[in-house]
Amino acid sequence: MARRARRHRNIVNPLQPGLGVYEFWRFGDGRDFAFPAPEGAAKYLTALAELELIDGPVRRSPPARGVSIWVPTLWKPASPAKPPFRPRFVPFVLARPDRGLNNWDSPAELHRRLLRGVSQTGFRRFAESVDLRKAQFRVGLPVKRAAMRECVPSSPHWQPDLALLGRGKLKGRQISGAGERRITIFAIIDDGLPFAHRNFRCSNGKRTRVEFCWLQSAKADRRHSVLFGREYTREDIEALIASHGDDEDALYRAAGATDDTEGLASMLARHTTHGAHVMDLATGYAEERSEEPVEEIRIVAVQLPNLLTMDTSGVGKDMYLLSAFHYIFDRAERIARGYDIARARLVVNFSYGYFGGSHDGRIDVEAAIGELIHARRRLSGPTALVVPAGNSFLERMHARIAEDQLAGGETRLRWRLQPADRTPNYVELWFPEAFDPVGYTIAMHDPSDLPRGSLPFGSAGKAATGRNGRDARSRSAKIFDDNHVVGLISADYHRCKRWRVLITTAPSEPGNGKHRGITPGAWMIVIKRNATAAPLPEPIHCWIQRDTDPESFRSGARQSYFDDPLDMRIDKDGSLREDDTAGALVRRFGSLNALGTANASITVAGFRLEAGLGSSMAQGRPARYSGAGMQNGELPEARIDCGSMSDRLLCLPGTVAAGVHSGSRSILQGTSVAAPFVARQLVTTFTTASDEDVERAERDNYLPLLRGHRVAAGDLRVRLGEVLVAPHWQPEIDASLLARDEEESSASSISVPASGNRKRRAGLLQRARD
Amino acid sequence: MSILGGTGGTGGTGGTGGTGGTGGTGGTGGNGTLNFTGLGAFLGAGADPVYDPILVQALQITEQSITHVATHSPLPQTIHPLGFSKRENMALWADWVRSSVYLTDFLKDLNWEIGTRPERVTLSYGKRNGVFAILRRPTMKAFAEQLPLMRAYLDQRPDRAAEVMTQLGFPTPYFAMILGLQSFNRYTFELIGITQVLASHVAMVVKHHMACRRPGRTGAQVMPMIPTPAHGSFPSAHATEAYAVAEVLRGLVEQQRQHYTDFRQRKALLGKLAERIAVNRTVAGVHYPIDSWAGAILGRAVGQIILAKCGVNVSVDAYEYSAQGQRDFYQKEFEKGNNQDFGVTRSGHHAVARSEVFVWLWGKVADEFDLHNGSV
Repeated sequence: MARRARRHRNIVNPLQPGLGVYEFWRFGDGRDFAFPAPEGAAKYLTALAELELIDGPVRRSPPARGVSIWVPTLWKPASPAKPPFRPRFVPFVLARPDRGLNNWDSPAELHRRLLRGVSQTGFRRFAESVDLRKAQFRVGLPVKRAAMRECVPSSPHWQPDLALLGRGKLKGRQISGAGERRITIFAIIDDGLPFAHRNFRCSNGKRTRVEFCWLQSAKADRRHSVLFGREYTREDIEALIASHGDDEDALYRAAGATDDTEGLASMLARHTTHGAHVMDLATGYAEERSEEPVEEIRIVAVQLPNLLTMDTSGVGKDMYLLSAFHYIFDRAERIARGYDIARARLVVNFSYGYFGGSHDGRIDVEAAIGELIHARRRLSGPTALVVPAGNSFLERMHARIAEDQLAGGETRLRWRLQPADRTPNYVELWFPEAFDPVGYTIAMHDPSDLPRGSLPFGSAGKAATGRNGRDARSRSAKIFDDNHVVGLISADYHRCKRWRVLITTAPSEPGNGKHRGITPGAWMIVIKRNATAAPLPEPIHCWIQRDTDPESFRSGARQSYFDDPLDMRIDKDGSLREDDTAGALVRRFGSLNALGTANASITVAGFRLEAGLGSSMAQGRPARYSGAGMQNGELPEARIDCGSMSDRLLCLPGTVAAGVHSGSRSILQGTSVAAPFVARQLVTTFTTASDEDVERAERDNYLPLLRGHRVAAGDLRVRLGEVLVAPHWQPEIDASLLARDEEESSASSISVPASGNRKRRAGLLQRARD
Repeated sequence: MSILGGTGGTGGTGGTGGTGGTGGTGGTGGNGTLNFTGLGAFLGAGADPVYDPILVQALQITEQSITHVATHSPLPQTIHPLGFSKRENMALWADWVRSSVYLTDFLKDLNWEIGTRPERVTLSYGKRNGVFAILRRPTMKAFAEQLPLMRAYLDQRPDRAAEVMTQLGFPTPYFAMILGLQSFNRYTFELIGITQVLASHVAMVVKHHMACRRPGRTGAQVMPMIPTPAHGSFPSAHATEAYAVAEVLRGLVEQQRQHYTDFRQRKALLGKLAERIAVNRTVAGVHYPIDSWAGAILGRAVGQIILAKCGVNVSVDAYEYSAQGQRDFYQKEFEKGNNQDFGVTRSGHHAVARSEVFVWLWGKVADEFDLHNGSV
């Protein structure tokens, strides 16, 4: 490489109090890289406030003016709660000022505006007993102008389905006889949802089970029951089916569901989508599969914006996600009231992955979802969340640095950045809980091993509490490539009481031509410590954020990875190795979806059949990509709960489900398609299970209600969890053959599995800590 | 490539005691590509076989060896002719000859006029000059307005690449799929084939005069995934052909409702398939949606003309089309007929006379769907 080494000053700045490491990059040095160009200038931004509740009087600042914020539909429990439920995490939308755009693009200005925004009258009801100066903000993806409706969302015009009400099955509060089903709610959060699909309708094909559907990035219409995007009630969908049912393309067009606010063509024009496949597996009933719709299962669907996949930080979607949960809980409340159901049961399937995160169940988005789920269980009814294990087991996106690897005072983790990458790369390093990394330094060396930036944690005794109640050592160092800033090394003391170091880099090929990208190749993350530093009580864990384009959105994302020469990738027989290599930093185990570590979630791994389509469940083996927790007891919250099918066979990848149009067929692979089998079984069980059984199982996240094949202890259980749930249907797979072992084990799986205890333990720990 | 392309046979070597061999006939032309006669798919089928020189020699040796036994009895007094200008004679002709007959029979009644203010092509059919389509030349502004739609469709290339690649020529297997056609449906395939050929000729007439630039030339981001054909963009010949075939087959399944009791579903599928084929060309980056509109309007009319020539009781609807640059192409909107929002105005209808050769073909097709003659 011909570049001359040039020494530069190492520039370290304090982080903006009240904002996190991601915001500091996005609204600072990374502002030209973080999103594709049009999004960077969006008028509306999604944001989250984490409010710190305090005892005693709150000093009120005068209401601010001139800063517009809007709050989306928030769930309010129907029953009076004691103590009343007050969310600590509040999603909202912030408007960018019309003038002074350049000024606004600084972390300090952004924070000033966020604070003034939440100080307004409209936000006061969330801010009682809250010291707003201590609020922590997260700012994520924009809302497109055409999708936004500046309003306070009103109630939707919705009536229960009279045909279902008229059946007389809804005496409701108690199940009076065997075989009787109670109305139960299934909710899905996904992309490209074909809400008018035949498989979600009732048996006559005219009525639908979809009670509410919210497309978060569709063009806003005249109604304002949602803050952004567009909502369809069951009546809307049934009217569309009546007028356009003969041509589903025309139906979605007439519904405005294909209007494009994101510069992307409509997902619903595709043959299949992730959402169509997942939704069909979770709650589709098809005539051609001889399935009779269970009309008591009512559906709430939320379609996330496609732009999520453009955001390679993985955290830009959090406000959309939290708004989706609030919306689902609110609409579930309306369904329960409409059909006169007490303690309506709800299963939510969210087949998405988070790659970064502390994997201890306590990062902000997990805490935000967790507080909602626990509150709903307490105040409104049983609530389950099903998530996939993630697909990055073999992707070299997780590394672990243990004490013995730092014994020489330094260790090097090779991070390979891709050429022709049009999106930024993000890697998170998490120190052990409550560990003070004084004396440690994180540095970045370029592919020719020149140091390009370093963040020292200073010396002991300097740990001061800053203005915002945060550690004043929350700082950020610039990474240079020649004289250009191409990244940041930032550290903050995260809410889960761990130091987090985030390394962000510019794309190697930025879309915006006036900016220099980072030189691609094998960069080195150098972790050093001096004599004053304490030894590591537990390892440092590192996770790279997802940076691929699985659904062909042309984001130009290229996945970086840890290129560890010690890691053996191929087995002697030529197959991809599914074990970790002793001494290597790269770890397959521990690659779990970070959302699967929340104590309110059911985490589902993927399996395939080992011995042909006639296998029994005892011959279920982990899908190669299926993420897993650690084998050695580290990261105790990061555990697989159960498994279901994500591949049929090694030679028949994926599962089969419906595509976008009624009658079309989709094959999709990944743990995303295993999760809905579990969601389906659980929601079906919920329609008939007794209150006692459900209540008893709630402590263990309803896992005792799952039927399936019990997995033997050992590595297999680390990969697949306690129980394998059979798919309800797959072509050429004989359910009775699959279930051969299920019969024998159902009794044992009904008893409380150990993982349930583990989750509960984690839950207790969290409550104690929070 | 010429219709009888291929190398001529070599002259035979002198036989022993016999006459010299005759030169072999030309080989068959390539198939699948439309050439100037428009006999594309028919080429090869029914062409004379090529004898190799030894066989030619051998036949002549045999002739000389056996001819003496036919010299003893007198020749017959009368020799009967074939029926003059009888449609049944079609059964005797080679496939490509029938194709030629259909083509010339269709073209003799096709007329067009060129207008300049505004620039337009007016197509008519039949002796009394029944106008069936008036297509105005779109403005360049309209084409420019279509480019964002082209970009939106580009994202579907991963989905539709297989369809695009297998619809470069005539998409006959897709129509066969809808009707469940089998190899013994040779006359139905012939009907589909000639409909495509005729529709293509009509489209080319209009394309030549319209001379509209392809999207790959007007939008840098279109970047077609297949070679851009060397003819104009407006109207789309793929749309013309697909809609013509859909119209003819819709007429067929409706007439054969004993055979296809589900003909309503099949009619809907045929329309949707035609839309899919037309839109696939937009996905590929070689046609604007307004090209599909013009093509579909032409194709429907060509289909109706063919049905009328086959003796089906159908009139030909006339439409005027003035392209709306901001509009996409949808089957649902197309099938409404008159549709001012999309620039389509219905301007009447007229009858077309039946033609003996098409009536013959229609009868042969009908036999293939008769539940009682053992063919199905």
